[in-house]
Amino acid sequence: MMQKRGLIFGFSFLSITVGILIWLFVQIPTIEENLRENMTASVVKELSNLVKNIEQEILQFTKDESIYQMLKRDTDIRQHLEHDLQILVTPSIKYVYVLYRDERGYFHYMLDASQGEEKAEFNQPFFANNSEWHKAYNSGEKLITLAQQVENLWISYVYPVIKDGKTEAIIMVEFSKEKQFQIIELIKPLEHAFIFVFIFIALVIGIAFFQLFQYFWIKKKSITDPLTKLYNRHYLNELKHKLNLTEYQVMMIDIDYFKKLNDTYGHQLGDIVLQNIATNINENVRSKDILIRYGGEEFLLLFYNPTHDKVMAKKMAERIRLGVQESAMEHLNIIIKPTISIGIEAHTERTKSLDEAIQHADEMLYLAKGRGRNRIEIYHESKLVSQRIKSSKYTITDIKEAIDDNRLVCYFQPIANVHKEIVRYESLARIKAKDGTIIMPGDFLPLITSTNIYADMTKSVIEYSFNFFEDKETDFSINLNFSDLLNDAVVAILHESLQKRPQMTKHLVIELLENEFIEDIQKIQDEIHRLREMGVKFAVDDFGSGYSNFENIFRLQFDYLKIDGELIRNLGKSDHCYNMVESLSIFAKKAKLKVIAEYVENQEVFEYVKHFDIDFFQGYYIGKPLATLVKKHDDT
Amino acid sequence: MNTEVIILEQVNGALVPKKIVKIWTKARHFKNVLQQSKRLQEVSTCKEADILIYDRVDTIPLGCEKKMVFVTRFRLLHSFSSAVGAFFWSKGRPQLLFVSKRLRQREIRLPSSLEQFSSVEF
Repeated sequence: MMQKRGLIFGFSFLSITVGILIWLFVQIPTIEENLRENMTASVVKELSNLVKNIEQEILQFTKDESIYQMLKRDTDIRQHLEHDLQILVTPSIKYVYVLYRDERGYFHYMLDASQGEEKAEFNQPFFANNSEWHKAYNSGEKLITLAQQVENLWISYVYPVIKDGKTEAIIMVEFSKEKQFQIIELIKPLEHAFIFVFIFIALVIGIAFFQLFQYFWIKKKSITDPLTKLYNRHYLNELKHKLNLTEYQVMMIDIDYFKKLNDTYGHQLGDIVLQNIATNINENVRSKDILIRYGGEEFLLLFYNPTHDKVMAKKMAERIRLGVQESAMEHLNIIIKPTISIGIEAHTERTKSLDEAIQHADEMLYLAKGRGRNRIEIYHESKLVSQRIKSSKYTITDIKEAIDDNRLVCYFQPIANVHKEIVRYESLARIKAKDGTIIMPGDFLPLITSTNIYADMTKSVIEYSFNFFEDKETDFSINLNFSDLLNDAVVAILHESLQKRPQMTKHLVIELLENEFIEDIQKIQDEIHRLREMGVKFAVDDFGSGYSNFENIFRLQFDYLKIDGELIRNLGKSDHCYNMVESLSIFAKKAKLKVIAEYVENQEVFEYVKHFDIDFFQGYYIGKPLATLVKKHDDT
Repeated sequence: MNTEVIILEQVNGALVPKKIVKIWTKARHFKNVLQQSKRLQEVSTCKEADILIYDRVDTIPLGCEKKMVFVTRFRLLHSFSSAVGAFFWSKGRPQLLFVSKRLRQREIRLPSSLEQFSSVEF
């Protein structure tokens, strides 16, 4: 909206400028004409002083008689005066003569400065057919008239000679076209200068228009998703600083089973589905609402609702959901019936920032997915299942963007046996910030736990690890939560990776973290069984803290038990930790599980831990997590 | 058609009520003008002519003294007593004059369109 305003303002301003410029350009002939007239008037004004002198001289000779009578009588005075008139004749001033008007209204010559054949006789009639001259004769007012239809003449200066309140004669001074050309020549450079300036200004304005257009076009392109034509995340980043969050409610919308659709029917169909759903949602929202393509198949809707009415938000979400649900589409005889899940943060006035509101909405989206999809969940504090970091350098949107931009990488920490021989590597997620710095899990995991983005991250870790270890013939482990095995998308990518690279199955250890209460343990058990059949091994991670469930150890048939690192770290300082580690080691042996000790930070801890008949060791003493593989212990 | 031709046709047509008016002239300029006219015909002797056109002072040939003269300069109106009118340019404007007294002597009445030009008195 702000961009639209800016565009309207910019174009209005330039349009007004162009309008003024065109008006000025159109005025050029008028300006030139005025200039010519002024210059002409100036020339004539100079001349009028001379003509006035002649007038004075004529009047000087008349005493009680009229000018006509005086000149008729005295040829010497006529000659004298004609001699004076001849002084005025130049190449520019072609004719100078004096006329009188008879009773019938016809003009006659009294004096003529011309010489030779051109010279008129005294009293010779002169037919000029010019009403302006009569006007000047009648009014006694001097005037300048155009010598129309008279060859080689430009203007006539008519100077009435008044005696005793009555016009008795007119002194005519007629300029040749040469004078006109002189003036035109004088103005021409100015005219050219005007034109050049206008062309220059027109060019500048043209360039300004073009740049303005280009600026807004590029700006629009930069904030528009090319596939769906919705706003993209860049727009969201700009919006954050201008948006009055309290006037909006936040909805996260995700297409259900989109990856499956893409994998089954191809990305081309996937794009069509995405476009259709985007259009469908867009048609259901209002002009005040802001719809953004947030991720691959995710949309963020800022629903304008200053009253924060939950019912209204739910109604809108339901309308969107049903709109998509009922929009079956056919493509190459395939009927696609998409559905969406929606998470809502209805009380943005209680959140500190848009990112926090997005996080809440995303958590609800995650919940909606977990509860069967094609449903809506509204944020409530009691539904919260994850911790939040109150202050972090990064936002949930930053993490989402990083994952979508393939800036999620894995570092690999070696796991060694009692002889310090490296037997396996654990893949640990890291994120590369835009400036190249590495973001540690502690800075981003709490932001995205229990959100849809967490599943995206898990998928990325799986893909990255498989790609990395594909040609390395070495064991590696990846970390999953129990709930990841309930996430169809995560499971799908795991299976896909194993099917593509069956030779890696025997090298994979999945470290499962039991960090939440498991609702559907049977489903998890079934999935573990399926993967085990393929050759995958399993470790229970961080055992000895939090949710550690001994029953699950037997039920799910793990291969490894990883003792919680905090217990190992505090071995020498706490009897409780010592007893726990000892008990867990004995238990693991009885359960026929291999034991891994984490957080082995130095040789002292290593030697201490060895006493517990631990099978494998992991920690800074063995090797730090690095982007490349450490070959042996001494390398670190 | 040339403006001069139009004026001369009208003038000579007013002076001599004939379909074709015969003109005798020595002025080369008018010979060219006459060639463009369908109503004015140049004749080789002044005796055949209806009107004589002069552009300078000259002696009228014997036998033609009473012929009507038309001149192309104002002062020639004085030089030729039989000159009834003049057509010439003054200050870039065309001038047409008739000597009303001489017209009356020949019992020539001008059409109303040319009346305004018959104002010369000597």
